[in-house]
Amino acid sequence: MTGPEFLSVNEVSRHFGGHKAVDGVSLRLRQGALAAVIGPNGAGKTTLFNLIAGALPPTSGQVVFRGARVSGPERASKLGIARTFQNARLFQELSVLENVAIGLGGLSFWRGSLRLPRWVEAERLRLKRAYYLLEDVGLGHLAGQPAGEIAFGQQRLVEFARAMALQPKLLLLDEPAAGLNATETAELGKLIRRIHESGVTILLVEHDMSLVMGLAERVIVLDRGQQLADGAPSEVRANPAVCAAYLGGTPGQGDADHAVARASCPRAPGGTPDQGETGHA
Amino acid sequence: MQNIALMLVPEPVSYRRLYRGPAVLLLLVLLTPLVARGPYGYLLPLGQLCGIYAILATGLTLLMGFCGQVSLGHAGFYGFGAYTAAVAAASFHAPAWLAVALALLATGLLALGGGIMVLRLKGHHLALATLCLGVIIAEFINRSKITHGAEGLLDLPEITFFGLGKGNGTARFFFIWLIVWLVMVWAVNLTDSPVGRALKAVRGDEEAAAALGIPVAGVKLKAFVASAVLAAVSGVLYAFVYSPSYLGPEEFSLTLSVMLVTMAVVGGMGSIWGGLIGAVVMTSLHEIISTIGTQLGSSEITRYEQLIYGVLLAVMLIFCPKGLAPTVYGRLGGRLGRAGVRP
Repeated sequence: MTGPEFLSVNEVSRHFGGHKAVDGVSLRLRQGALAAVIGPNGAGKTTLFNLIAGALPPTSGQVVFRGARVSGPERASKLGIARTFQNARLFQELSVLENVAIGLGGLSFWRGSLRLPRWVEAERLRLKRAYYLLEDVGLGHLAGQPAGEIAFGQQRLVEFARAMALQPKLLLLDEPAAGLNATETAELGKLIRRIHESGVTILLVEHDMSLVMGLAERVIVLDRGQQLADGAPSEVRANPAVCAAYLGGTPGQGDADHAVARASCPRAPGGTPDQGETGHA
Repeated sequence: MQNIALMLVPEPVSYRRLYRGPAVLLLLVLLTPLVARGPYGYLLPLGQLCGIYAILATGLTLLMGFCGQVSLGHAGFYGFGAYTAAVAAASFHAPAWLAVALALLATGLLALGGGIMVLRLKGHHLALATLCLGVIIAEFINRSKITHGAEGLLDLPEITFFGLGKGNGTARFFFIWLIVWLVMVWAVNLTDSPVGRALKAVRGDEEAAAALGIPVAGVKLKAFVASAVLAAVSGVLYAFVYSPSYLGPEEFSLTLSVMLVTMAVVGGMGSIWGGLIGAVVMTSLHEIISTIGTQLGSSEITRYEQLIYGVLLAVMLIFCPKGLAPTVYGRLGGRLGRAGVRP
């Protein structure tokens, strides 16, 4: 393919004071990929993610999506990038349906003010589309509920429907499995795969290794703001530098990191195995 | 099995359900002059003032309750609108319609410029910055030669509905409330539209709203300008309809800005009707307290007016934090319409 690159992150850095959260990371993503970014706590995953989504301006370097620079969150959504947040940030005062409808446009101030019959027809189509997007994640029956009053797992699914309303070409998922139980995580994996099969490129940041290793076709490992490894899950798992990053530095850093270590390194001397707490095994 | 009704594809709120509120309002407006006769004649000028404040408070409800941006400077826009129209008519002999158009346009532009400057601030900082805007305008009105300072402007042209009933209290009342009614229909339309959802989204979570393609800064600015233009509408009504014989600066004080915010809070900022309800209640309260005073044959009670306000407000905020509007709705039989939310 000639044309512009799908997503290219060029030497992007983001510094907070003296702290280099992301330090000169470059990566390219082809259209149709399903890739994951992993790394120990504080590796800069979420910062990188926010840079790609346009939510944070980079200190240096740039993010280019289909030939256009991602210069802000609104711009990103116009270019075809949609995202979810770590803790499903739904608009609590709106109904579930209204949350999904947010991404469907119709923001004309004057037409909304006049409410002519033709406008009502357009609004009817918007609500219908929002409803079918909700049905797609199996939550059509919750349409009229206030978004703050449904279960957390359901909120996360609504957030997916809300992001899909933008008809994104690239979907960014920030720890989609955080706070979900094993069953919900498995369901979520199916949903992500289904969205991917419908032609949406997906990049996710994730702690849950069972989800990442089962789902992603490519894994990018970050450590201390820099890219440590990049490849198929099996390659990354066998990479000694990755094992060192997860286990070396600071021992006993957190269960999630040790879960990564156990999942990725065949002979890893993982901390004290505590299946109960990690829960995803 | 799921409830069948819940499986239906949601529809936009029907005109019939959406305009239930405006219909009730229209009925109340038409009935008021029947009551406000003889000894109750003082209700008419009071009703006129209620209408003027209702428009102001509705603008603030849109800005604060829906979009989440506080303004303590709206008395300033109110005054700016009133004085622009008044000066154009009195000093430059502009026809009334031109004076009105100028007032709305100038206030809109002022709010646009001011909004671009202050809306990047949030919370307390925004409150202070808007307060400053209000104070600057009030000081200007109070001291400028153009506005005739504390002397005020006399004998402004009175505008009426197609020139009917000049100087007639009932005609003034109907004219003001016709405008209130149009504002409410507009506000009801707007809040039950994607713009209304976007306003609430900006209030709820700016970052998430931006990620969903909502132009956050633009939405805030539009809400700010719209509420300022509504304040100017009130200003014009004050200058040309309510009190055309005299326009003075004392009406447009910081105290009124605070009072307007109080109206919006008392009425309930979660509903577009909150501002109107709060304005009518708070404006009448003053009258009720003075009436009780005269009935008792002493002005003792009016000395405690501010105290009574304070106590009532505190009690309200503790026992009815969502404001009066939800209570009124309950009496009207269920919540008024919102897309996808069943009554």
